[in-house]
Amino acid sequence: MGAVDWVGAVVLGCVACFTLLLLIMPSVIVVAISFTEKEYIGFPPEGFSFRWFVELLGRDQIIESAVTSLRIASFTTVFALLLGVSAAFALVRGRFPGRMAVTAFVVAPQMLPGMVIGIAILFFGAYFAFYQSDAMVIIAMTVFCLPFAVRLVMARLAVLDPTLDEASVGLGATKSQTFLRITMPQVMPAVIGAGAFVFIEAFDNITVALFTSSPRGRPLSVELYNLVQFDSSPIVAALSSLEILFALLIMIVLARSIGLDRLRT
Amino acid sequence: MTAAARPANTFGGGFARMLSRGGLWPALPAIVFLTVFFAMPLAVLFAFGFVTIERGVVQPGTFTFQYFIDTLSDDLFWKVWWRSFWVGTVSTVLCLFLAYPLAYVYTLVGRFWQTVILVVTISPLLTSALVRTYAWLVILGGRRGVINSMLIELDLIERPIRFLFSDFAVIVGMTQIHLPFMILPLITVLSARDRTLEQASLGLGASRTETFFRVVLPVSLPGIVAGFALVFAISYTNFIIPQLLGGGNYTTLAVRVYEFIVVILDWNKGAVLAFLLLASCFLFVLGITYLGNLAMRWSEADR
Amino acid sequence: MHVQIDGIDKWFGANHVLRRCDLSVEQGELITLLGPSGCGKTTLLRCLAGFELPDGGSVSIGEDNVTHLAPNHRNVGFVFQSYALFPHLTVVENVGYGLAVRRVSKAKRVRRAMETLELVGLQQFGDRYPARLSGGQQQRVALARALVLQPKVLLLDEAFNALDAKLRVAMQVELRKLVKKVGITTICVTHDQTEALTISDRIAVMFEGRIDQMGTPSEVYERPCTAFVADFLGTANLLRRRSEGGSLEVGPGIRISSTFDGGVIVVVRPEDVMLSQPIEGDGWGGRITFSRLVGPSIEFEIDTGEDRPVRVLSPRRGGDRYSVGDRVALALSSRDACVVLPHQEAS
Repeated sequence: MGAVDWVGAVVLGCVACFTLLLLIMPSVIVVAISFTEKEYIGFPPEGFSFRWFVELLGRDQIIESAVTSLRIASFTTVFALLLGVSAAFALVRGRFPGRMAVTAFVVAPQMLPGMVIGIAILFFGAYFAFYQSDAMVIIAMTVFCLPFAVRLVMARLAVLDPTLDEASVGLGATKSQTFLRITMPQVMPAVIGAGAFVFIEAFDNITVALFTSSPRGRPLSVELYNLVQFDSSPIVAALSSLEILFALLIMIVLARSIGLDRLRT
Repeated sequence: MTAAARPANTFGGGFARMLSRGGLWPALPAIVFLTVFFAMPLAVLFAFGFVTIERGVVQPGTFTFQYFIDTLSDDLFWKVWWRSFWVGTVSTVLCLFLAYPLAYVYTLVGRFWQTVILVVTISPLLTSALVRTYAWLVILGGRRGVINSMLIELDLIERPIRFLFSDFAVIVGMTQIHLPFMILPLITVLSARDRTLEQASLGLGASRTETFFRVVLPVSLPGIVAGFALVFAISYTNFIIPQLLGGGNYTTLAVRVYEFIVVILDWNKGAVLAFLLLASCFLFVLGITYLGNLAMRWSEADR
Repeated sequence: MHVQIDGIDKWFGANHVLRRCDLSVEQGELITLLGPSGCGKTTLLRCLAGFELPDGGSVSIGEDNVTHLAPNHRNVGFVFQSYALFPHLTVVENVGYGLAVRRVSKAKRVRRAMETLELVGLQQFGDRYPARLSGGQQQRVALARALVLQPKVLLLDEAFNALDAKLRVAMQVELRKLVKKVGITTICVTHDQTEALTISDRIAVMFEGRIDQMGTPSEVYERPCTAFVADFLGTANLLRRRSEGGSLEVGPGIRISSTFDGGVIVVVRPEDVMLSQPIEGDGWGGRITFSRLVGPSIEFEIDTGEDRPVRVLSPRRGGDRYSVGDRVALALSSRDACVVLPHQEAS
């Protein structure tokens, strides 16, 4: 390698390391801060205690909003999977005119910012005296998350070997037995992965929830949004740390079910 | 054999058969759902830019272009739009410069480091954007902010520098938060590239640096375009980051949409702004893709 | 079980892939459908299995007409080219799958799966997943999975394709022994003529959707009834001749009888032509233009003045007397030549 190449390699390595650190440092700092003993945020954190986590669990409003978020995320996951998995089957295995157009329509919500989807449903609901509520968040979130579910399951279905279904029927299985014993077990990892993805998005999402959630019974993301603006105590850091931990757990589920490589889509 | 002698086209159970060999109809629930809760609401949202609403109720017979004309002739709109545009562009460019080396290194290192890079890239996507924005509030904050307290500790400064509530804070936050969206498409394209091209280039006497700029970079252009368009679109339409890191008086187009709909409760103006935000965003994405295609055609012709 | 196929027709869009195929297979027979890719052999096999429905004609297995029966009610064993082993099931679960969908109790199906695995020599691999088996082992699992159901017929679609050359031969021999031991009627599809010659009781040579010839390996090799069959199985000299009054002249002084009159093709296997020193006069002969060693034999190309050289295979001992440039005489015994019609006129 020439001198220029050495400089190039060093620059490349340095920037790559910097980016890697940049990706991870903010989360590390937030987690570190959440263990402080003090009343205020500071870095490096002073002392080590769980007091902010204890305090967090003592706040009814936060617990309530976490429950609301869990409820919203659960319903959204169920709906998005029900609609998304069966749609994926039709879009991969079905033979009908306009399949491309239908696929484009089903994944279209992904092209729009969550804010626009939230506002559109807010306006639309107003037409029918349907106002901000958990139900509205669930509907809007399902619209927003459906493309994830459809795309992940479609990707898996597309690589399934169709001769396996033939082999199963040839061995005497009916279509439904084949579906339950051969097709579904192989699609399952993608369904689990899609479920985890949708669940965490529906739980975390703020852009959709901000416009569709009821002021009474706010989901955790909206609650956190207010806390971030108006509460400067480390309790926000503690809440953030819990979310980061939660994300890591989901990450492990995803890595186990569909593999990290496939998360790139 | 006796009970089994049924014709081929009627065997098997209903639901499974529909899913595995049916036509359009397993997708029908999703299509109906999206028509009612996606296509129609969008139509309504755009319609709200043309009709008058009072107390949340549409006034009949009030079709007008007035809201669009008012908005487009307002200097403030153009000022706000300009900020959205340049902040989005700068942060997207920064994103590209930070992401590309990491994505390229991903294709050079072994399995372990590849996993590390993937985990570090993907895991932020699983935490909420709010948490990531909050981290920047902490880092860039006043006297007790991470950077300021370290600088003071090291006696480099005496009084804290004001990072927050500025273009700088918004750009830094946006860049870092959107990095994964740039890295992932780049990794996809760079991993799939044909390595023999580089060997050929080296074999023809080019240095590694030359090979990188003349072969690797042009070949990865599709990933660059995809990542650039995606990151620009999400930066341009993001309202959380400017709101939290820019402070109360900091507005972008997306922040204006939020304010009109949630704070001011002027849905007509909000609808017009949302429409303009979306339309301009699509135009920019189309423009980026068009420029990308031009660049790819040029690079092919040049080689 | 006896298998009878009568006048099967199959169209894929405008493509006529099977043209009134007839095939009759005896109980316990091992038949090979042989032909180049695209000749319709796999489609014929899939019609037998029920994966394709024929547009005309009928398929019977034993006493039953199964033409329109769904594949899961036919009880035929099918071994796919890719084996189609279920990746999420272990070897025992794969083999027991057909029993499981027939609601056979778990204990019973594990026992029968293990018995069948023993038959193919894989009893110790029951708990493995297919991905952790070698190609040959995977093929045996696929065989066991088909055999455990005691099907009436066993169908194999290019089942040896994915194996490397040496293993392929071993597995071919093993398959023949196995199906003979079990006594099951077996139909294989292949494009590999040595495979067909190795394993079959009878071979059906297919070309462009038709069965051109059906017969024992030595029949189709020695008495091909079309130029295509002659050319596809082994090497053949295809000599264009005119036949008049029930006989024709292969070369000067060599006359053979012919059942056809007019333009015909004489099929001569290279190993049936004998070389000798040229004698003065005008016998059949020519000049050697090329020679190469083929195992224990030498192959010569001899320019006889026709547009294509005549190929001759001589034993190495004796053949090594001749070299490129020599003039040689060719001899042929009349029972070693066979006369067929040119392809265009074949019906």
